[in-house]
Amino acid sequence: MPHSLTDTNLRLLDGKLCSLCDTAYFDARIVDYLDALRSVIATLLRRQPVVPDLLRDFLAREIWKGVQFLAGSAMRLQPFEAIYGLRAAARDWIKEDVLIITALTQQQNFYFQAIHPLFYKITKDLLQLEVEADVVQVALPDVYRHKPLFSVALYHEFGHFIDRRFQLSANVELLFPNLTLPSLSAPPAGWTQEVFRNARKAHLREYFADLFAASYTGGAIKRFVDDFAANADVSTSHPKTYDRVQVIEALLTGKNHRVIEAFRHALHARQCPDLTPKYSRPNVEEAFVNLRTARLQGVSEVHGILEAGWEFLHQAADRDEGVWQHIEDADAERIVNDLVAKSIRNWMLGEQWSHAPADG
Amino acid sequence: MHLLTGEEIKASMAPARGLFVDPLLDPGQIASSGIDLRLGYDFLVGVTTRRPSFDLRPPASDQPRGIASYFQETRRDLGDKFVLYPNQVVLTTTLEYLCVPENMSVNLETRSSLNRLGVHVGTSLQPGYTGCASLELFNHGHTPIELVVGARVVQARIFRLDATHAYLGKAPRKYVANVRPEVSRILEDSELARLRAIWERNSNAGRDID
Repeated sequence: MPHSLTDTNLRLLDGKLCSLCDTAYFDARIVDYLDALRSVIATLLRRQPVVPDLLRDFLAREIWKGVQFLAGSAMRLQPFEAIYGLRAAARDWIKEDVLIITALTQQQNFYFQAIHPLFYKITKDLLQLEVEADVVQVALPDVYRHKPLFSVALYHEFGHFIDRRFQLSANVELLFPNLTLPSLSAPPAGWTQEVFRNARKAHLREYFADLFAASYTGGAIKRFVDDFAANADVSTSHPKTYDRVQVIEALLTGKNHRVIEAFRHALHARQCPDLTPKYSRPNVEEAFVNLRTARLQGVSEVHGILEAGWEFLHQAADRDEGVWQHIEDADAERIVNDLVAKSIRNWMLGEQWSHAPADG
Repeated sequence: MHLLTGEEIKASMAPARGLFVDPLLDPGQIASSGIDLRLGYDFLVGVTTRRPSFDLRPPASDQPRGIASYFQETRRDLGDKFVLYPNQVVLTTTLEYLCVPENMSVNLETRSSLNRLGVHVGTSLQPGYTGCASLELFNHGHTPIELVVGARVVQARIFRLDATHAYLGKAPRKYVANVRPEVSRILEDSELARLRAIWERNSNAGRDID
């Protein structure tokens, strides 16, 4: 048989997954997922049952994507606090517990990478193998791994997963084909009709991800989008930052907006939760002003502390009394992020502790 | 200076300005004359690098190699194990975030049960300190020890002082409101520059004699 690069890739990926199996830090569900990927590789290498080359190449590429995220999680540096918030949000939408795998990237970029739905279909129908279906793969900048306030964009990325799973922006396209999107009423100069159509789809996906994030983190995502993508103009992949902020603002202030109304219809049609605020904002002022952690009262405050933390951070530089008068601006960012992270983690610890039987 | 009893510790606790311990997972952590504190979940593990030593007198012209490069970070969850190998330095913190009032100081000592396994920690927190307490773990024995995140590891003995002392404001502080282990910032010690200048002068004087 002539040399097959796909076979070589599958063997290399299996070697990588095999070494990751020895990572003692993975939780049981990640290990199951990893084992399932290895079973797919073994079946493909056996060539029984026969799978057309095109599909083998496709499956190998999807496995490669999965390996990238699993390898990124092997050092166990993931932001437990942010993942907790995402898993809590997921429970509002999906009955089963989702598996969230994070990768740390050296780029100034957050992204969501889906396993293609066809991957699950092919492995099930052709290979008779079941692979965990609700895998959420999100990447965040390594330098933000201890910065929960700057990781609010993970809610936006998780919004892409929800959008894809329930086909929400696709539904908006079907239900409202003539919906005028901000700054995209007609193709900008140099765009073909096809580029324009694809840009509309991309913008709808971004708007939903923003709205999803705003319903959990309120003003935190607005501030972050405004800072992270400051002054970004309209592109084929993203709306203008100004337009994104306007749509988020409309949701937060309860104003009518055609994009929000369109998504409300799509959500209703898919029997999904509405875009109402799902967070409550804890009063962090008294705690943070004395450099103390805030004692959260529920999961909704785990989301809400992100908005409260951003607010406190923006006022920190102007605090000229108490301990804050002695804290440098550069330290203020670190301290507020740490107090938010520790407040969330302390809530998680209390929950784990209280749900465990005292006698094991 | 007065060592607080368990009842006095409970009475000193207040959310805004008093003694603060968060989370206190079990009220039973407050003993007759101290509070048991738990092992945290973030670790900095000492690793061998190509540099033979921590250079505490780095050459002025050279950018000193950061002490952080001698440590590798790893995180755990409540109930996870952490293996402490013989002769290994590991930096971690208490699970609890602490705020010490300005009229108190705290001594942390390893619980007797851990001392008997060869792990010894001793540190103190100054009046006004806020943050998770830094724990520098070292296994003095010959056998690796599997520690459990969230298990009680140290006892805090809390002393009431006759006067108050502000932690912030008088001199720059290196460790404020930390929630995870921090590597030593000893290179920021002001006397190192002066000692370096003395050494350079002595070295040059020696060359003149030659």
